[in-house]
Amino acid sequence: MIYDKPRSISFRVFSSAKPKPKKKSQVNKVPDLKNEPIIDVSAMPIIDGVPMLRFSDDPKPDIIITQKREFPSEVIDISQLPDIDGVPILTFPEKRSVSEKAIAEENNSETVVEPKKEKAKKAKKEKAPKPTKVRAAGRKTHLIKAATFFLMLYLGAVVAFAIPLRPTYSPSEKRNLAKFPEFSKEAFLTGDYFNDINTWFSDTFPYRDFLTQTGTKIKNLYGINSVNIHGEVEMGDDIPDGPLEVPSTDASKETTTTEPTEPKDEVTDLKTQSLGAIIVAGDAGYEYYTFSNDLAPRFINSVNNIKGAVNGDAEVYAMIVPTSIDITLNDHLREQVGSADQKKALEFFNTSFRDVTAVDGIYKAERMHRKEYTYFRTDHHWTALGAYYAYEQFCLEKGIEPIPLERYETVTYDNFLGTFYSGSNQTAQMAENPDYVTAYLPINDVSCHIVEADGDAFDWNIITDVTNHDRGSKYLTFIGGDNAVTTITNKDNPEGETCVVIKESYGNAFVPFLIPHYSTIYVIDPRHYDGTLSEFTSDKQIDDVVFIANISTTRNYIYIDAMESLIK
Amino acid sequence: MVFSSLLFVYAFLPICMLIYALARGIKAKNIVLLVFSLLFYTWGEPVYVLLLLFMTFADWLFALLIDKTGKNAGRKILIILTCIVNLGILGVFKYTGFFLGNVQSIFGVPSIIPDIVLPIGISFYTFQLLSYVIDVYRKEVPAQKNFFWLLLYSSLFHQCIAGPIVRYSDVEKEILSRRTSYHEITKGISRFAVGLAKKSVLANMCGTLSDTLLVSDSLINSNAAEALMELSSQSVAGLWMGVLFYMLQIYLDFSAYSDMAIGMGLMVGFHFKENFDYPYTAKSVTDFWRRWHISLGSFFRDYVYIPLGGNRKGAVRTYFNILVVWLLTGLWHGASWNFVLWGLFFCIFLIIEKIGLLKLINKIPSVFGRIYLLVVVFFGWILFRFSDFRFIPVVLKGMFAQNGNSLIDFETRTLLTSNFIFVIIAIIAVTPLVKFISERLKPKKNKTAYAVIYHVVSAIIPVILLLLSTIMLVGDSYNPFLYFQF
Repeated sequence: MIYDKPRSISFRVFSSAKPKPKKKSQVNKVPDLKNEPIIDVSAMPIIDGVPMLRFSDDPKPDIIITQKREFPSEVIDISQLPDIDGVPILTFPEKRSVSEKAIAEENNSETVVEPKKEKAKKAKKEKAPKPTKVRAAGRKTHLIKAATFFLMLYLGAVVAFAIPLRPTYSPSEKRNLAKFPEFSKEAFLTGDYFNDINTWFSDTFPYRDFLTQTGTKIKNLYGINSVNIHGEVEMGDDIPDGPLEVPSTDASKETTTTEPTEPKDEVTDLKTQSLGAIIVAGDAGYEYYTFSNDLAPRFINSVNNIKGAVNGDAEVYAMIVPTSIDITLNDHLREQVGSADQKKALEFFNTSFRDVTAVDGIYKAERMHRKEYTYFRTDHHWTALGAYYAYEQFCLEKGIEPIPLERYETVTYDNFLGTFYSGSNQTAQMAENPDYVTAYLPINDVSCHIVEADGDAFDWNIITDVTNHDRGSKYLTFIGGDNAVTTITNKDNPEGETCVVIKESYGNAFVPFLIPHYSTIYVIDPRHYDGTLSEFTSDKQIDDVVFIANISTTRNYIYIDAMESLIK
Repeated sequence: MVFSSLLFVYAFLPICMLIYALARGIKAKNIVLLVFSLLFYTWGEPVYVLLLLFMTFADWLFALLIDKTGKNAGRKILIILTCIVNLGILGVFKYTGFFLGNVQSIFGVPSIIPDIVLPIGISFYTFQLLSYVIDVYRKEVPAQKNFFWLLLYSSLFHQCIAGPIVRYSDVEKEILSRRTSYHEITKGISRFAVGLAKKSVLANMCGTLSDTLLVSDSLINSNAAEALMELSSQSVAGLWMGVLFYMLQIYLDFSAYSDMAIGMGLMVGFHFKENFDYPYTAKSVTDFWRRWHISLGSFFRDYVYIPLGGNRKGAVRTYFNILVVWLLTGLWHGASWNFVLWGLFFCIFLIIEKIGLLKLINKIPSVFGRIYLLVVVFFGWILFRFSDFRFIPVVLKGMFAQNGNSLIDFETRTLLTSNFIFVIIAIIAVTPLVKFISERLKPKKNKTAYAVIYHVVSAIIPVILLLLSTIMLVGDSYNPFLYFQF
């Protein structure tokens, strides 16, 4: 039996059952079909691929056709069929009975169709199931429904192919979006070429920022979220109770021999390195901290080896800065969060340092001032105010008098939405209440010279106007951000000391406060500087080395790799 | 390419549908589908598309030869040859590493295990082709004379890489004679939109939550020791919820792909059979496997279980047959012992049910059967989730508070409170509730104000689902398809 196109139809009467008035007592009694209980469906006429039965004039049909179940076989024993009120029901696969299904929809959407003689006649007359008036209305409805969807789909396609609408950079994520890949035979064969096209297509989808923000708003409706956690919370190691016991000299040999330095392109990976898990409470984010048993000794050793690497008899100060989760996060919440105890970790680091003056009062100082604006809420950095309190602790260790904060003039840049904002998929409460960056302008006559990793060199400002920077980059106001080497000369203090600052980005807000105390400050960011510290200081007389890093860097292998290659 | 990618939704599908609509005549339309299907497959497997072509060609040839051969002996040899070729290729690509790995761990040789990449969808299209040749052998369908039409069947992008395992006999006539009506197109659209949203809104989120609470595969693969440690520190509630999210994810994810396949089929006039029938509402394991991945279950029933004698050769033979089927079912899901164990796990329950439990279940209130089934399936997914056996006892011990962790920790509580509405929606999505309500809401009469509202709303819902899916897919790099490994 082949269900082809609608054919010309001729009807065959299968049953001559006599009309029987329907009575309740006759329920379940099979009507007079027994003279032909087996129907050869393959001999039936076909409409729309549906074998058709012809029925007598009986107002009650001999057989009911439904389209719910599988079509059993081509030859059907009617006496075996299930029945309703004594009328056998012949079921067809749904797919064969398009037209009837449509009729069913219009006929009060019953699943059981009771074929009427009129319909059969009509079908016969027109030789094909022409839509009745009711069905035409149904067709139209379906047409409109289909058109609505395809309209949207094609509208989306047009937008998706509007290349000029595609962004190339995402300010909130601070990254360049994927580029359309260049064709190469290898990339084609490995499938990378097509994969990269996929990535490009979704990564640079038009209105990306709007759509991702909308997505976050929708996800906010998934539950009650006064507190949210983004990213996977890692389980760290236990922080040792006592200081690190490995003698630093042996360890330094170990690190240089058994642990080869990673190839240098690791350093350029920096920009894609993501933050750890972030907890967001209201409009403020906090980064989780975990302690790493593997990385902590390497970190400590590289700090301990600074002194040996510097030409001359320099004093080394180590400033490990706690992050906001242990300072400004609500205590009640902090108790519950599974982030490692930074106080304990700092004690471990500060007591493990050798040949280094640990500036160990920073944690306490920041805790004292925790109600002030010392850390950003939407970014993982500290503010210049937070850096000032650490500077006071540095002065205490060095035995100098800190410059009072009142002596500085300030500038403020509004509308700062940093890494916690992008890392939490653009939390709406943060956008409603952005951070601002306050910078303290130098009180001395200074010059600032920057050498970038690629060798480009230029003069810059200690504090740069970032009014027109995008809202994720306001922290760049301090000493021009992270660069290989920044040389700051204080012309008001030509006879003063010389200092090397080895830092990551926490140092940027801190360095401006050191200016009055030195004549020259060299700021080195190990992630961007290719050379070694001993080379760098070989022709310089260095009095102080300040190592400053936030506690997260103690478990950041990229930074530690960079440190080891600087100190070697 | 996967269905739930922006490139598919906003480039591949609209272009394919446009050209398909413009093509006149069934042959032109088939050529359009064929070209796009091969492009679709090439997109994921630029080299192994040749394997798909080769296997289709071989099976096309085998079927023709079987059709032409009159003698039973000759036909038998040919069908055995077909099975050897198909299963051989599947075996080489899928099970070489697994097999040699086991040999190595027992005998110490070979020293090097080749790292063979599993071609996308090979498990699906091999079974499709195999079912075709066997059906020809059984004279249930005529052999397809035109190679390209058979290639259309095996490579059709609707089902080629992620199922359902469509039988050739189900679509044979539709290859050259398809009808579409607006009614069916509308139905297909709704189905596709539901599937897309199920995948990109619900399944992906369930996956994220499950990975957060358990551990992600990337961590397991990169640092198993660390992953193990992390898992052993998870709170009791965290583990239970993690497995629950995985249970939701795996159904939503897989059934979403079947929904999209069925929906896209309807748009062009193909009628694929249902692949899922709300399996989590089953009342017994037997019932569950009639509702879960139906096309795979019926494949093993028709081509393994019944040919082995089914239940007609005595009780012992019946149980043996069930065992064989479930070993194979487990192994089909992945070349790893945990999948075998997973298959055996279900096999045990099926046999117990056959012995008498099923009769008992049918007597007691159905709620007990449902709870029993959910518990069995829940623990089954733990076996399914971790191919590294070290993880399974850690999870089980942790779930019963044997790892020394608290009942619930801050991170788990936070995750649950900020997602509890989502959890409710995802649970509703695995039940027939929405379907039931929408059937009830259907207007009884046309041309009433209510009917107009109903039709407007039902026209808008697929559009909303499309937009929601788009929003979730943009920038959502987390979009793994769980069934690619099969």
